[in-house]
Amino acid sequence: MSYCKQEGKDRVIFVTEEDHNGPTEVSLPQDDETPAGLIQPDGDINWACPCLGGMATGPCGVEFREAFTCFHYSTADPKGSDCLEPFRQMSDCMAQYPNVYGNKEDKEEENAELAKEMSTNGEQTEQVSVKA
Amino acid sequence: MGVTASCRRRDAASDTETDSQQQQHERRMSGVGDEIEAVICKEEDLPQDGMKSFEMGEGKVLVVHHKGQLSAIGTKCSHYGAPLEKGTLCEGHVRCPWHGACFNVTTGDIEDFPGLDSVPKYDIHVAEGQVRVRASKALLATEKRTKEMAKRDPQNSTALVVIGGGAAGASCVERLRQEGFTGQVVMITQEPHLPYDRPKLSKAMHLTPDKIALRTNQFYEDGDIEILMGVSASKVNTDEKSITLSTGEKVTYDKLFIATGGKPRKLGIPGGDLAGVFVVRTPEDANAVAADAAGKHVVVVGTSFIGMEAAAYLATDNRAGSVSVIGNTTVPFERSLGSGVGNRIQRLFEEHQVKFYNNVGVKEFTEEDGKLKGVVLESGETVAADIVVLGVGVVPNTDFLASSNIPRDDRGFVPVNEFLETSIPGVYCGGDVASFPLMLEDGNRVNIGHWQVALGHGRTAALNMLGHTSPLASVPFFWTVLFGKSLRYTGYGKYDDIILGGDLESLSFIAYYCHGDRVVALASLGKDPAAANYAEMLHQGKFLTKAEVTADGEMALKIKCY
Repeated sequence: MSYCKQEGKDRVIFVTEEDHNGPTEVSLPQDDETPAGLIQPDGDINWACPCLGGMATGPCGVEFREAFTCFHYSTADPKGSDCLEPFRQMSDCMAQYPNVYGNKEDKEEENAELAKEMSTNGEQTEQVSVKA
Repeated sequence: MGVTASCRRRDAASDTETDSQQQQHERRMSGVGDEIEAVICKEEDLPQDGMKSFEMGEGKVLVVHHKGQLSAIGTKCSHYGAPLEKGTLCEGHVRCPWHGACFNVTTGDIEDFPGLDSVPKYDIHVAEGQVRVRASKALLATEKRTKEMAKRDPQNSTALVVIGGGAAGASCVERLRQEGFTGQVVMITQEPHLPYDRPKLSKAMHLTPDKIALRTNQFYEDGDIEILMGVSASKVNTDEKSITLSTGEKVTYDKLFIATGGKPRKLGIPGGDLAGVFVVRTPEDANAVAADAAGKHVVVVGTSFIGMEAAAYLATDNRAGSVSVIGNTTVPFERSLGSGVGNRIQRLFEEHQVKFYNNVGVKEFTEEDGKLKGVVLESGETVAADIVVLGVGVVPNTDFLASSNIPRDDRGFVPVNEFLETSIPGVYCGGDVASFPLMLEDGNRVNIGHWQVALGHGRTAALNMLGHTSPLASVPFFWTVLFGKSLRYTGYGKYDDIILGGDLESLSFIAYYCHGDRVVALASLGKDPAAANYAEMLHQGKFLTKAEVTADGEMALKIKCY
């Protein structure tokens, strides 16, 4: 017969071979705890949600939260159309930190420029002469 | 409001086009010999006033709608290929956001440098709501257009001689031919190379001269441009109109352009002649440093552009064992860019393990067994060094003019007027050795050592030597690349205050250099096209005020063409 013994802080379970073989008959309680999503049970925004991509923190975290909160509670039609000002401020802030909120196109351009600075002038043979 | 169409002959293929607006027809191309023609967009897709690029076949075209005129040119700058669409459009030209090159939007001709070639120009035509462009296939592919050069006519004995194979010299000789000159064109250069892209020497020290040549040998042959390499001019006689070369030979001229450039300063201190002490002037210097630096202690003396670019190059990808920098100011670029910007740049370098010794001079170089071993600072401290790179300034290479009657000022620069002519008729001078009137300084003479200015001087000198009186009119523009970050600078002048816009910390800023109430110069990083915008504004003789930029640090990004 399997039994369980509490030894101080430890709970020790002795399982018979018979009980150990075969699948368990224990059923776990329904897990009400689904992983925290964007909206908390009380309706508030979960700023730690991975879906926000970290935008709620960082140099423009405050601006982001204000814009997003406005949008979330907006009842205008279309939704969020009354939030232009906080979004504009967020956008202005992010423009100041391209290294953080990198525009992919800008980065590509930066790389292209650097490549040209460090490489051969090449293409000389390809020049096409046309009457001026 | 209609769009003016450029005049072009109707093509048989396009006559068969019905006006059905089906998608399948929109991109139909008809090839006519070496040209292709295609519909690139609908009329309503055209920018109202501005530039937009469209795909066409295997390439792209830049459509410009400016001052009611529609035109189509190449999309890439002829210098390093930057997207012109992101530049500044004003007064009939587009200014490149990276380094300030300027192209006419109607003809694609290059108007201000760097870059030597123009961009292609294509025919554009709007009909039935569709926008059609006709382009040469070859031009569409290379996106560069080199102007045709005249050939030598043996009957024309006029000789135009250029001393110097740098930016000014290179730009001058080809411009002479592109303007149709058929007499003799001679370039005398002391280096054993064809003219090359000098700004790359300190940024990519491993590049050999053939890899960065501005033009091929074939190019100069096609243009009947004689290049005397590896000889220098030792004397000029303006009465005889002759130049004596280092070989003893004489070259006679009808008109002369002196563009001998700068000579790097060396420190006249003990040990200064040791083999491990380098300047960065020629590709040989740069290549030698690059080849030898692995695993070695490199000490850079000088915290301005040459020194810092070399240090950044060597401190990347373990090209050197260690990099230390010695400067006699508190932070790098203190005088040119100010201590705020200088300090932030120093920290960028320190993040890459570069060690700084500021506010100190160098007393001597020590050696062991004839090899460089260390650098002794005036503070008494010794810094271990296997290689020293000196970036401590430059003096004009004009000693050979001492015996001539071509005047020089007390620092050795040659004064010229706005046509680049010296006080001796027929003798012109440009580039780093000239002291020339600058529009921005109300016509006062200055000396500027920017690659872009020198290229412009070559062009202006050529025009004036051919009698097409053409005054100087460009705005100084230069750039530096440090650890992949391109800092762009335009303008000129002493400043008494600096206003910073953007965020210095994140290396995304604009620095406005003010003299009194005027912003005389601007430096930007990560804020394109601020520098191109401001270069354009300065070109028009206008300035931002200190008050305007203090109120809005992003002002340079917002200025529009007037």
